[in-house]
Amino acid sequence: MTPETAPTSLTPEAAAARLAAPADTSDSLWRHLRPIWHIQGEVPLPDGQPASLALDRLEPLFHAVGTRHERLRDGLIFHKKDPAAQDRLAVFDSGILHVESGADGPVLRYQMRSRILLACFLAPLLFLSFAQITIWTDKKPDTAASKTEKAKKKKKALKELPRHPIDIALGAPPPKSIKEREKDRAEKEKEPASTTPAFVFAGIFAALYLVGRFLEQRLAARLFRRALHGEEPGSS
Amino acid sequence: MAGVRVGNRIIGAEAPVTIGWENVPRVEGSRLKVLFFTWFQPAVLFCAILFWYYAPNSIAKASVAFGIGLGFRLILFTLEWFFPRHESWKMTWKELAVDLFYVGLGATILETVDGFIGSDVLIELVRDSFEWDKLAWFIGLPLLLQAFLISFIFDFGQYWMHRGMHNWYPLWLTHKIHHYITQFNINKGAVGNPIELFLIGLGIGGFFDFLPRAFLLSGAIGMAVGSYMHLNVRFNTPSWWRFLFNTTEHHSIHHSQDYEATRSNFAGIYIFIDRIFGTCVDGEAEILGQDGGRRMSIPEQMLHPFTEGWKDARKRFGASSTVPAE
Repeated sequence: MTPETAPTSLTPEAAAARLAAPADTSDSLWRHLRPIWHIQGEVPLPDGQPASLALDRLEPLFHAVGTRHERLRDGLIFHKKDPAAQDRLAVFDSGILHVESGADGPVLRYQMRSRILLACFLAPLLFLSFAQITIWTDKKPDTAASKTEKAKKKKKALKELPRHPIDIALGAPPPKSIKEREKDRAEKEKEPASTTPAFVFAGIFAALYLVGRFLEQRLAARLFRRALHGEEPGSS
Repeated sequence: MAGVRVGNRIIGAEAPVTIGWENVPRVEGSRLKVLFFTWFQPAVLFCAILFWYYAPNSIAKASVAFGIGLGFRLILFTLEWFFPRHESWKMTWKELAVDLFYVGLGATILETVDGFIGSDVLIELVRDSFEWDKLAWFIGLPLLLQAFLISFIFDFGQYWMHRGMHNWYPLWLTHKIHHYITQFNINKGAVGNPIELFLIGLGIGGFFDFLPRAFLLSGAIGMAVGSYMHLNVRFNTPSWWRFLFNTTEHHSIHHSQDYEATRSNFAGIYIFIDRIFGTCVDGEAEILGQDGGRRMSIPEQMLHPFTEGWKDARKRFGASSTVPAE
């Protein structure tokens, strides 16, 4: 057994405190905010399975690159740094799993923290701020100098666009006329800088957060259940 | 690992790389599946060119090109989900979230910054300062030739910028972030430090005048050829395509963990540029990344060029300051 996996006398409660929760965890605001990036749940142990066997079966899940873990008396605590893309618990940075007695027998309770979930939750705000920056930077002062510059640019007359004989023979549509291009140019000049992409990405991240919050919780529960039943590689 | 000699270099001595098309697996399965994955790429390229060549002016515009591009990316995303090239590259929620963050940066704040200091703006500034008009060398040429020239001029510049990034340390500091990706998928092209993303987007195309339709055609070529660079789908790509264009296979070699292999296949679209300058290696790799495949977090990706540059500068120039004065 390597020093990384040696059992310690740390109680699950003391280990849970390592998950960087503020001292006053009873604070109601904190209790409401915590689930944004903390996932917790429980999985019943198979009938008659002792805690030590359950942890033996879960342990291989934490033999991944960038993962440190520690066996507790009836639990396990882990920390991840830059986990590989295919690590099935890559979403989580740290967590604690411990076996407790539930109403219908022993259960595995877990509590895990995910910074990427928190980042994803906050990402819409970042993209909304980008939208605001786009609006600010688009407001150019309409000074006399800029007006003359604009007028000077407008004076640049558009020329008729050429058409190669090969394109005429192959039937490609002719380029737009000067009048059409002048109309396009005028429309383009009037058009403000688009904030649509920023709003779209704010929406994408809001949706992505909701999907991730529920999907990763389900995947973690399924992974632990399968490991406890010896259905995961290395856990049998 | 012995590696394989390619020209004067030994490729694959440090990490597994497959060299030679004969050693690259092909799509297997039903006749329909094989047909689909053999003809998909040429069919899309042919249809895209045909569409933009003949589309009436009322629909030949940037907004339509954007819609088609988005639709095509969704198709490729679906193909990745159902037909991944490597299981180890399969999409996860976390990968998607991280990659979309970079796609979002490119579409929003970097686009805004580009509007102030991008190459088109700088070129316009230069032209206005010297009262130059755009060079009308190419505007009278056939449309398809103009489209090729637009993408070729950009890709040729990108080849040298990219090669420079692998050969000059200050540029490598910005580009190496992109080489920390450990898997390919449709969005991975967007992953990188913002400074690098800005540098790689620089081009001199703004000096030349082209027909507006030629730009749309060149965009279509870019979409139908360049989208596969970071894709997690295997195709039975025709040999003429592999000779002319960059493929997932070529680019996976460029991203492998083998140092010599990363110094090959620099072009974005036209791999024949690499063939001309002797940097092309045909083959593929699955194990990607730097530092043995260490994954880099977003904060580290943002700061790495500066922190690493500072450390190196201190090593190089700060050593004398540690010598105590007499």
